[in-house]
Amino acid sequence: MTVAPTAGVCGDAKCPVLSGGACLLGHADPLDCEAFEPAEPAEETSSVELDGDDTDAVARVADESPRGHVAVRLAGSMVALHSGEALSAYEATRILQRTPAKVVVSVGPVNVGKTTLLAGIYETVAREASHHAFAGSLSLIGFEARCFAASAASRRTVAETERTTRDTDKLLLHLRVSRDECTSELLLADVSGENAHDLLRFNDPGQYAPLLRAASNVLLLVDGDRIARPTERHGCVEEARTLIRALAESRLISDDCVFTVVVTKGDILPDDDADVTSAVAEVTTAARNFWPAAGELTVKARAVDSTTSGEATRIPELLDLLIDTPAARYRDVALPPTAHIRAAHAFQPASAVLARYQARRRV
Amino acid sequence: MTGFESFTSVALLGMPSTGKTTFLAAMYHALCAAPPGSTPSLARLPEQRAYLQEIREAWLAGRTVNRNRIETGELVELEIDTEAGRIALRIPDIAGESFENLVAERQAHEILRDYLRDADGLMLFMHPDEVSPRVSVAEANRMRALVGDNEPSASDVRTFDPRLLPAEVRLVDLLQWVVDVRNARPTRLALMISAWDQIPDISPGSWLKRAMPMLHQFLATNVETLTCQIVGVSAQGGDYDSDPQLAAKPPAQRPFLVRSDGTRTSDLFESMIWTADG
Repeated sequence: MTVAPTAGVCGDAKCPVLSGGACLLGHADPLDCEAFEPAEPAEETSSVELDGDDTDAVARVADESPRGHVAVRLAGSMVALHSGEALSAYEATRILQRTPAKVVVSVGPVNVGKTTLLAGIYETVAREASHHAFAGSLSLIGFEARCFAASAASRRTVAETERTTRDTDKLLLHLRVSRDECTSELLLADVSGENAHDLLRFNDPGQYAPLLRAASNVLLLVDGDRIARPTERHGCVEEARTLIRALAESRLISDDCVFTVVVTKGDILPDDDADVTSAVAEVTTAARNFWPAAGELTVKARAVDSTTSGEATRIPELLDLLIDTPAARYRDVALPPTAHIRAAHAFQPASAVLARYQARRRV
Repeated sequence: MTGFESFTSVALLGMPSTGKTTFLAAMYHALCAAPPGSTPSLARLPEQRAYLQEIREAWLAGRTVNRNRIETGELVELEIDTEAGRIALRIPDIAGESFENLVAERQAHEILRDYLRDADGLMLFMHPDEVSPRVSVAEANRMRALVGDNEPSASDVRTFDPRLLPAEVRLVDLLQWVVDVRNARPTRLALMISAWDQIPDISPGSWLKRAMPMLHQFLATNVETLTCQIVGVSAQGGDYDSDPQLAAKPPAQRPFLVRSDGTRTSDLFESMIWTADG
């Protein structure tokens, strides 16, 4: 008996195609579905023998074992687990279809600290450094990978955060958080800062576009390190003001969205510096021109460790803000039979055809 | 305690070297050595018992029980008489590497999936040596400065590998998958912290909260799907290397459990029966 090759892996772990059923998106051939990845051919085993009594998918392989007799190696089909990485828009839609979730989009240039902020949120909850409790995550590996370069396990002597690549569709980190025995689902977007660069210079929102349409929170990140330097402060402020205006004029952000100016690297900022305070106020005022209720928060994401209280980092405050925002809920809209759907998801794609037939309403 | 249905199954799961096989050995011996008429006891000797005999003999002799590095899928079926009636425990001895590979490689055998899906209760084993606390680069630098250690060189820098995940993250990931495979139906989970003889005076729940806060939080916030009992267990009764006379001790006096409230019992079956009753 040969080992049956694994057919493939679907991005939706619940899709019946994994067990021989029909594709959830209606493709007759799973290979036509964007979410399906065919597996590589399984390696052939050697010296496969079966006892006459074996009726299940067990193959005996002549092999040494610690117990000195023939070991038995399980054969048969493998089942795929969820990747554990950040979610694609398609995968995030599955969550939105099941339960309301807060979609949080951080906007800011390269090196402003977006990924470090997300890692800080995760570490704050994982270390129980706040009044929030960790209740689960489909993106554990994604979070841990982002935290790794700042952990002692990396054997670095200087904490780093690896740069977010643009060449991925895995943009949303999932985190379930409990506060006062109520659970909230968070979808935290981790988008390359190059998209902010394009928005700033070319009015191109890039990967932000579908995310902003679904956002319940937008965080406009301002680099605390640049704000702290007198020679870079004004350039930083003007860049932030231009980004704010570009976001507002793009009309991608709904009126219900909560807009917050977040100053990163708060551990570098000098205390009680009037110039710094004034610069931050300028950015916040610019935001309130378009979102009157816009707030401001300075965080110290890199400072999350066993010696710093959660409150000192202000990340618990940010979490409260995110949790208190009304969640987004995706509602399916009936699609016409002639529409060619490659990958339906809640985050409106660039395709104008699909954009006409998809909508998202807030609860 | 409700009466058990026939063929109640309990799944043993856990990463490599977390004490599953040693616990199985101690439990099997306790069943074989039970006085006639007492409970729990074996209703009859299991058909497939070569493996059980092997690990029992090693346990009695005070030798480290060989754990299987390759999943055998050998099915241990034990019919046990308890106070609540007769139950048949079906315990495939699946190697810890299966669970470790599941987290790192994101795939599992369908046999393992079916086993975890169909079990009535779960016993998750973990070992205190697995604990790997979260330490930031800044914290590590401060500790090195305090003790005067040299800094690691640039060539020592590691890139991320799922096999380097902290133990609590691997366990949460595993449990999330198990809950998903079971379609989130309410499940009883006994979290068995092995080598409890090495832990100073503290309750198992307090130890878990301190050593693995993320796992502790996860269990506390998912009570609708996982009703958890956190138990300390010493299947050996001590460390063979530091106590060579351990094998001379009467077997019944060696293993013990420490309950969530800190009280101690020699009844190895207490948690298993509790999970089966879910």
